[in-house]
Amino acid sequence: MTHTLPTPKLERWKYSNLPAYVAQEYKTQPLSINYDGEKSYLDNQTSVQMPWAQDVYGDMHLWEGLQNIFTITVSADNAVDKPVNIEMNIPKDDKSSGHIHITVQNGQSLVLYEDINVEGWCIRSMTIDLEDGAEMTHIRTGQGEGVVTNLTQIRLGEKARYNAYALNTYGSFVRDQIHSRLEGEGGECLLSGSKILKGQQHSDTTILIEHIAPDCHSNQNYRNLLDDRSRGVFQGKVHVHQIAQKTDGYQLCNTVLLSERAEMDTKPELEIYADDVQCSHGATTASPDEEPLFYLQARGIPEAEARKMLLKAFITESLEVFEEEEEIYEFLEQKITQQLHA
Amino acid sequence: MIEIKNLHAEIDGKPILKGLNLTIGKGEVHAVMGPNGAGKSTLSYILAGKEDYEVTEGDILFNGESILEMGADERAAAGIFLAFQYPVEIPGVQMTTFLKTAVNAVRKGRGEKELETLDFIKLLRSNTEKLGIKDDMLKRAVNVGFSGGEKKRNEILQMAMLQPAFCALDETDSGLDIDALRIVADGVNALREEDRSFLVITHYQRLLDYIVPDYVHILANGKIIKSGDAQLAKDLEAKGYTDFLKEAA
Repeated sequence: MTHTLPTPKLERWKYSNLPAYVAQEYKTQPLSINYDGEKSYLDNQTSVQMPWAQDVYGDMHLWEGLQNIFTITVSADNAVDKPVNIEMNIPKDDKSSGHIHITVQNGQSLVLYEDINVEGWCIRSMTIDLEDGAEMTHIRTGQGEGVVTNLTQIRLGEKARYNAYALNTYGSFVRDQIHSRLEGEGGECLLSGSKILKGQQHSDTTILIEHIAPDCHSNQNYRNLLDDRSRGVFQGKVHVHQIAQKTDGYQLCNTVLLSERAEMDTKPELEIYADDVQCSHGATTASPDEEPLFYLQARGIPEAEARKMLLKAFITESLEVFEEEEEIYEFLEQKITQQLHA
Repeated sequence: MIEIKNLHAEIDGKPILKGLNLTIGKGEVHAVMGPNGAGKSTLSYILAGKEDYEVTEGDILFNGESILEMGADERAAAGIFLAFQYPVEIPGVQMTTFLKTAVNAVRKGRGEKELETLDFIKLLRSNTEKLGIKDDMLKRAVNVGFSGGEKKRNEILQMAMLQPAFCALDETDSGLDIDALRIVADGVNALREEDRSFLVITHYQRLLDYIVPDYVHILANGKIIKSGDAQLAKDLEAKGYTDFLKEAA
């Protein structure tokens, strides 16, 4: 099946020219997934019913028709008491695609670490169904110089909670598309992440959070560090439907540019149809602040070390939501430190 | 210990210091007062090594050696400390991490052995107790959400931890109530010794009741226009700057 690739002519892909990055010949493959959870959670199916997953941007065809579908179901019988890991490998000339469908049933919880080694082109679609009272923590990391186009669609039931962190330090081109639907009262969707980019890396995070029920809370908190000629894109949209009174929808995207040719495009969007809501968005893009640097140097800390301290401090503020979760916080902090010293 | 010789300095092409001369000997406390815009903060920033300021003429000698080519971190290791008037907030950098890094950077710069965590904590505790600083302040990010008094106390804490030979205090008393002022002054006085000098920049005579100076200088129009002893500050408070400025003109 031939797909028409989204181009910058499509408003949602305005800042990201995918065809330029995938111009070469690829071998089409199913996505190779290693999973350490118990076999009983994992099932290979040929189709998954996802009536709620919608083609909001007209680019869904990029993730459609995927033959390879894995499912993970967390139920009372298959409860998970420790974090599980998914690892995906995409060798250099491969165009690997696959779909992962995750269901976390009433009151159950899941902590998922997703890691990717990408040298070719990874097309990963994921649907997550969080039933009433379900909780999921989703930590995403990776390495490699390939291309990644990810679509993650999450549906939250009543009082469900989705807490995700995307650490993007990898890939020559990454399009991370997240579409979240808060369909039950009291749901909570927290999307945090950071991009630490250099060379000519291009990383695009495009988010749509739909508040379709009252009393839900969403928060987007991204911090980016761009060096050399790298390019970051953040398009964050919150759509509050008329029924969604008492919505709290917050968004913050802060970027530090370390070189003159680095570029960040930040586009917050709020589309609000209810009248009793609290929404805000904030974006800053700046070069490093020299005052704190001088303060540290005036206390004896050499410039290079002082700069690293400040950059690390800046990025680790995106870990705010994990302050009480030591293991996850330390895992991410260590990866961030590694990347800053690389 | 510090000799400032005919110092001319500018920022963004604008001359601020226009031939400033000042010598501070070991163990001495010198106060510098003067009208706004005279160059008091400029002087302290230049001593600390802020690169925005350009020294166009003159020199600064510390124990006989010029410091003008030294970076701010090298000056700190050499023993120069500036207590800032407006200490900047550093989100995400925790107080304890910052203090340990600074203490060990200065020790390393002096060829001393770096402190292990336990020894560092002991040193930290002894100083926080003396200054009435509570543990929860140490858990916060540097200066973030600190009141004016807490920020100034934090500057004095750093001074105590780094044990500098020369301390410049840039309007340490601004924004402090009487109780906070006392604590800061006690902290400074506890550090007075024969091998340590102080340059106290202030607008108000009040601080000098607590930190009694050996010498007082008036800085106006980028130069020292008059020097005297502690009495000069009292005269200044009584008369204001105008007469002194006329005298110097």
